[in-house]
Amino acid sequence: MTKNDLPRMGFETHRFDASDPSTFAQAIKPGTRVVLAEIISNPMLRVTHFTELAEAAKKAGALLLVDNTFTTPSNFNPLAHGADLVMHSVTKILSGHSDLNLGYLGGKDPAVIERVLEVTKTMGLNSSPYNCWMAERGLNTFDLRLDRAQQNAMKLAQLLETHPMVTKVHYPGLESHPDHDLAKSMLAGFGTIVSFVLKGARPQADAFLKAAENIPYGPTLGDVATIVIMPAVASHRKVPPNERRALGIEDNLIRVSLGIEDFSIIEADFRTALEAAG
Amino acid sequence: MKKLQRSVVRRAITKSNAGTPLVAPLAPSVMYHYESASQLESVHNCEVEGFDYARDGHPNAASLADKLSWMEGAEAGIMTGSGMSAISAVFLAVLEKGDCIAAASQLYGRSL
Repeated sequence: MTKNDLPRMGFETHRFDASDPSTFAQAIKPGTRVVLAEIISNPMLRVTHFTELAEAAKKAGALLLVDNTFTTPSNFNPLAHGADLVMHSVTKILSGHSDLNLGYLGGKDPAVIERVLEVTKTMGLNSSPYNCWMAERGLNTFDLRLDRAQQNAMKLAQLLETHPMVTKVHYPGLESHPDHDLAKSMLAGFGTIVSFVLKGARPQADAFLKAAENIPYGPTLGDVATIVIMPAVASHRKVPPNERRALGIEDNLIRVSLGIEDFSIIEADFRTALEAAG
Repeated sequence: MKKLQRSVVRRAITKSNAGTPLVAPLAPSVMYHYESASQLESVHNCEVEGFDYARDGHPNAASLADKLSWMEGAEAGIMTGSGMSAISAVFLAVLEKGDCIAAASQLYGRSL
């Protein structure tokens, strides 16, 4: 959206590295209307230096819009830390069962939300009653699902970190993660997503996925079941290969969205698949 | 950081002589009708709370948005068709000719 669609309409996009505050000032300046960021990035799980980002947005007079889907409202509340707007893909862990598409937008200033609401009416960006009703049902168990999936994420990250078939694990809960201290001070939990790089290249990744036949492969996250995907050929397939690699998204990077299964089941599936990739 | 102590499980308690369903009902209706044109007019003028046409708002969105706003500490919130339509709606609502956007270099692929 910010690379092609909005520039096509005449809105220039300037990039910053959310995990490096020294890049904020050159991208966020007077004339910047909206700053778009996530708290934990997809799929590299870098953590945003949020205090500095909120200060930069405020200084430029820009609205700071945060996609809080990966973090969840239980782990971080952007509005309490200087954001103007927060959005969620409710499709993910908030509703939790991968059976609806839904979004949420919240804000500090009701007048801004009212303006956005008018646009949703005019442009037809509305939600369906059935999806809201289903999501509200799912939301009742959100806390339980988050706790369990987050525990599973930490256990899987630890398992992967010591496995000979894995060269790199990205999870903010690990001490080896570059943003671990920041994540610890900022977040109430490290989230339910773990990414890792397999030893080898694409063929090893394909072998891993083939052997992980009990784990669905697909482009969503936050489901009750553990789901895997290769971002290079899924969420980031439209990003040119050189840009993908610059982001650290190698072809054999696998992203795991942890579900709420008993960890022993997840462990067995991963050990089998890792062995098959070797 | 301390874990936030919140729960969205508690149901809204309202009283009715005919009994009130514990679970909020699904309201698939596209239209909400009123006894008179002036009643609908007062809904349009926001003098009384009410719904009119489901694209503009409906009870299931209102109830869920309230819960999510409470979880996020938002003063106001709305539901949209997807996460991406929430982002699109913000840009469509606030951008003016000549504006710039600042975006993180690592974002969900569709947001990039």
